[in-house]
Amino acid sequence: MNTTKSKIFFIILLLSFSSSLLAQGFYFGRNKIQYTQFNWHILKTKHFDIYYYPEMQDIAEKGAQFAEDAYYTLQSKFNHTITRRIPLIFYSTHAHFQQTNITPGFIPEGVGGFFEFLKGRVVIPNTGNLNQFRKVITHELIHVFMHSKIAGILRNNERMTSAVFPPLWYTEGLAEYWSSEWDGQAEMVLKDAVLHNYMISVEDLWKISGTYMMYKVGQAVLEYISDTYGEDKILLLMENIWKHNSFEECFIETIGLSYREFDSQWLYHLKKRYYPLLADNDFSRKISATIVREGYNFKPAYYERDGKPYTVFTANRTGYSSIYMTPLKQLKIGENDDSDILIKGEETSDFEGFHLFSSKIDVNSEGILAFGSKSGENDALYIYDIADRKVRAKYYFDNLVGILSPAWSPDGQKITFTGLSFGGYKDIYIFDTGTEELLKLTDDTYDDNDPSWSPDGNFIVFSSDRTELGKKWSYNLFLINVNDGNIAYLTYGNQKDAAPVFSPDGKHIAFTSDRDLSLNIYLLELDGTKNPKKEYKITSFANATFDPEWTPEGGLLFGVYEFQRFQIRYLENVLQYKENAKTYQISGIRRGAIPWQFENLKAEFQIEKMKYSKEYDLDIVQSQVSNDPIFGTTGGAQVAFTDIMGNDQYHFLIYNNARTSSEFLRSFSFALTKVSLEKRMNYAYGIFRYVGRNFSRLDDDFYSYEDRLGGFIALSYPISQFMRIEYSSSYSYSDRDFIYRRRLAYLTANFISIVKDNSLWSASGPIDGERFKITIGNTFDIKYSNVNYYTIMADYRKYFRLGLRSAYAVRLLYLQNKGREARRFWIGGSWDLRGYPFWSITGRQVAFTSHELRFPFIDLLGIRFPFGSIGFPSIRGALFFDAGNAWDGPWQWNHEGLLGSFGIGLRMRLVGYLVLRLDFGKRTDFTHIQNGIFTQFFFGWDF
Amino acid sequence: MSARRLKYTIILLIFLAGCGSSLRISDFPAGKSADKNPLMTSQLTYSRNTVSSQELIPPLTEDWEEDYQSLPNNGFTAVNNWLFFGMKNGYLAAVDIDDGDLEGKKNLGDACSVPPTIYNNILYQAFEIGAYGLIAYDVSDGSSIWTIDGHFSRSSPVIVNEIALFQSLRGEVICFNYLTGEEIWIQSLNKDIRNSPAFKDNVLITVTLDGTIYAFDPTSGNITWELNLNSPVFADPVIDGELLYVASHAGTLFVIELRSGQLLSNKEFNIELFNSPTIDKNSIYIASSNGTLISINKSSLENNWIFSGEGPIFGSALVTNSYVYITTMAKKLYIISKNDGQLIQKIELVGRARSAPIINQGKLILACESRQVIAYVEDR
Repeated sequence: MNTTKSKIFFIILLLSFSSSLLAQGFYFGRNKIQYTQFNWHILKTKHFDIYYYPEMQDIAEKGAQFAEDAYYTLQSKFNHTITRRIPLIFYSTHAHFQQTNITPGFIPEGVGGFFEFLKGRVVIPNTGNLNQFRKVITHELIHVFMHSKIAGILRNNERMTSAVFPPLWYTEGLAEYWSSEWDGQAEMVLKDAVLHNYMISVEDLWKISGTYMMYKVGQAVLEYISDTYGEDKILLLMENIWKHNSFEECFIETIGLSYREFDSQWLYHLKKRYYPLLADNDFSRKISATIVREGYNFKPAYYERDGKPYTVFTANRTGYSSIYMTPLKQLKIGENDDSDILIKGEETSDFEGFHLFSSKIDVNSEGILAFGSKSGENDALYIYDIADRKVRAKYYFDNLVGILSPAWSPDGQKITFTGLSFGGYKDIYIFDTGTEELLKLTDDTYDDNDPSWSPDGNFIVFSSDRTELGKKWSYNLFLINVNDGNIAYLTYGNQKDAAPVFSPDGKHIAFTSDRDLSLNIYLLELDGTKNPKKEYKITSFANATFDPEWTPEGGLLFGVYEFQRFQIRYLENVLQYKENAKTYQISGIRRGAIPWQFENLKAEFQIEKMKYSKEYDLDIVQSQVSNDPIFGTTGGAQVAFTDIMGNDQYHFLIYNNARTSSEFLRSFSFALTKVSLEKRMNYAYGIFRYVGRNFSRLDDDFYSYEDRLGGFIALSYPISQFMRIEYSSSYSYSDRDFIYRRRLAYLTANFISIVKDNSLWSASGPIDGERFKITIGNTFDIKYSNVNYYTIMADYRKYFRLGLRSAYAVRLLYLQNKGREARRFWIGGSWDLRGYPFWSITGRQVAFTSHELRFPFIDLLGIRFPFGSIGFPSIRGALFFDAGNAWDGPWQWNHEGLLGSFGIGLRMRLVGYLVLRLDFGKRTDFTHIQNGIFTQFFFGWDF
Repeated sequence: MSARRLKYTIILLIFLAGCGSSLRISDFPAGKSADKNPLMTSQLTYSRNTVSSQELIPPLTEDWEEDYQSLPNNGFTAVNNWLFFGMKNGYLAAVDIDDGDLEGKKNLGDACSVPPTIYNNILYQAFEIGAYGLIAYDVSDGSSIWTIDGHFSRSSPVIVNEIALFQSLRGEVICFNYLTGEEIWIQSLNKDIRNSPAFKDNVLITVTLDGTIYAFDPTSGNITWELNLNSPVFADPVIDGELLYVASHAGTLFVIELRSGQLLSNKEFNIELFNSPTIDKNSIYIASSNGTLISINKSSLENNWIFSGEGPIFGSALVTNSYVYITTMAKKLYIISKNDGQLIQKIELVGRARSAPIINQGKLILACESRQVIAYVEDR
């Protein structure tokens, strides 16, 4: 009881200092580094406030027109209008987007944009592909309309607290359905699921919530509903929601079928649609050789050493993306590949990401690997010696944010690649590794990708949307003459031709295309002057293929998506398939066709342009009132204001814990904090007053009343994505009233920390990497020397990966506060020393270690009741051993000696972030083991 | 005490008087029937054609605005000096058109989705959820006469020749004795219905959500003809003369012979249509979901003019001798010249419109968000 109050006081203290400056990872966490100082401007259009920076003005104006076009389309589709201005924040590249402070978390490469509900902000990066940019704008605006429409329906029907909001499969499915056409990638996902018998029903869609498959299945379900029951049903699913307590009830009213009844029709429809494909198509595994099998593998490159062929490729097999190498040999059924990691990614600032889906890699005849990787602010071009396993060179280029798909010239001296500029456009470049000169081959607004050299070194073939069909998101193949820069059309059509590569003899180009909505490999036959003669569809796979790569023997390595995996396969002697291949005559190719581009914002929509100046509005308001029979009524509130970019934040906290009315006025605690996340060096400063009682049954002066008034400053400088230095300093006047004495102090507290975190997380906690935080500091009274103690805190955690989803985790913790009026630490409970009451062990020094074997226990626990079913995903198991204690004074254990516990635990993640913890075990003092078993239940991530 | 304060005090007193306070209007004009007084249903007549003989000459200016704690749902039924409307919270309200004062309100269900129909002192209100699908309520003494369990509906009933014709969301078309609620006949179409039926000269027209039109003999309940448009329909069907007009969600206007069900012609607009057309002597007015109001020639179906406004138009256009009035969800009230589609007056509303306008007793009345009901008068 006595400790409760001091803990509350401590929590308030902690909260006020742990502003979002530190909250980006709170104690640990990766860093979101503000590399770039954006000069924000606002383009006010009829319905939007578009935030952009001058370097991307052209793209911003195009995006503004996309948004206005989408607004009118959606207004009509939703039969709804939005009566507020919608803030749209554009970034020219994904790397810039990852720096946004509008969302506090780290943004992975796969996130294409988001709609933030609090202020209704829509944040969207351009990726060099304007069709994609347009799609994402429409997608996010659908969320805006949907949110507004449903909120309006609820408000107008006076159902302010609806028991139900549409599930994610519906909201994301609708956003996909109304923002894009059904394309080859969508078809790939659905077809694979149906043909491999893992298609998921609507009833079970929650099990794959948030996955790409859920997006596409959601889209397909809504498309089916629209085709079968009418487009109007899509809207009715929103309009009827206010009447129901579950979305399924709404579904029943609108469609007239329960999920289960609908599923029987929908799944049968899918079988009718896809099963006939197997009459004329085959799974790639039946035709080609399996080279790698585990994990998710991409972008094969051919490499030869000592006459032995290898494949070098990018992959994600452990949760980190890395570059691997494996012998080029066919795996037998059930045989796993023998792949080596060449470069481990996402653990150091050198290799933060290899752009698995968008960037190829290449090895020259000398065994030198070229690849692009995010490293700091921008991508770097790496030259890597495979034999020596060393980075030979690393190049950054001015104004290039992205470096994608580098490819060696035949002489092994030059590299062509796709460069993504600061302004957000992709072009083809040539880099001479000898002279270190960079040559820009194309310079326009088209989306140019996957350049590859001809064997004679005179031409580069690439994929681009530069035909006028590009407006419909079509990609065709082009040949650029390296010597004079002339660009010739190789293919022409409303399709996506991608990843072209010349055959070793230069007579053919292999590429992938999504004609027939099926991603297959095609060959383009060339004549002696590099003009296209004929196209052949070489493969007729029922699954999707990517990124063909020739071997010297005329075989093709390529990526496939099959059975929910991205694998790499090999097809021997590809030219033999020409004979029976479906052919396409080259006709209708328009040489010198009319250039096109998306139009910029029409004058009628533009209101004004202005420089952005910060305006603050309310982000968070929360209050709390509690009543305690002993401590009486206490209450407080917190308010936060931020600017539209989330860069600057003001937090105000007020709390009153008066016990009597006479104490009321002098019992206000408050903290006013300013946090700035705008620059690489994050900082916070503020003032505070904390007033209240402290209780500690262990101290001589077990009761005190402290009134503390002061200010603080905190700095955080990220060295890399994984490591940062933190510094904080506070100055305060402390008036502490003990029972028998009064203590005045002018306190200063200074702490410096180094923090590292490159851990990889699974469902309930980290399973790979390491993280640590080491802090030293002191707190002393500069006037009276009434208080003077130093602090050492070292917390180290290491995770040894044992398998894809299992790990051995170790934690070492040492804490020390030593000196006059040094504060205590508290341990015990589910978060550290398990089996002991929460925060029951206290002292000014703590030594503690924890060891845990983490493993998957149950992937999905479902319970079906007569009236419905519930499911619990991701239940993890842990075997644990903890040992440690807290003590006072010079190195001596307290009267209980070393304490420990061991046992087994279960972890279950609920609704995304909440992890429930249940531990069973035995306590030990290392002389005796507890009789019986303790059970401890709490929440929180594993350490 | 200021007038505004007085108003709020009255509203507060009404509110405090209890949620169960009766909607009772003692001097209600007894003996009137829907046949004799077509103003007793929403949308002016059972033909669902919102052509008004009354006219207000712009410019208009605000006369009164009132907040009744809940939003009127999809329109009003005006009877003499009263405005009846169902509200989203299930209350039924009666308001004095002169000053907007609430004469009474009564909680009859969970959510009214359409305005009531009134016949011989009896108010018939459909409900979308709650305990009853339909209530017959005596306005003069404030008592419920009969109720229908279930059969939830988004349709205004048709009361004619001592029978009540009613259709439910689930596609049941039901005929009741208007005084006792006794079921006379029922037809189950097994299709969703989201709109109100149209009625004229012994033909009841029901259009289901999937776009099938049914013509009923109201006496026997027999289907005299049916026609599948193969296109979903949200809008009410509209009868003009011997022709039936149906606007589909996909954006097509169908013209059908009322007695035979023969499809005579159609015109595609390629805009989602949620509202029924309005038809006057020479023209048809299409209020679209992208804010355009299209006037077409009734004979040739060729465009007369197109007016482009902001935001989806809420409800059908209200057409008078010289003007077309529309409200939109982009907070606009437009008054447009009927001859050439020129904008005569644009009034900024305080919120999204939530009803089409009506004209009654020299006032143009509409519902919009946050201020609930606003009345405009000629600015003299």
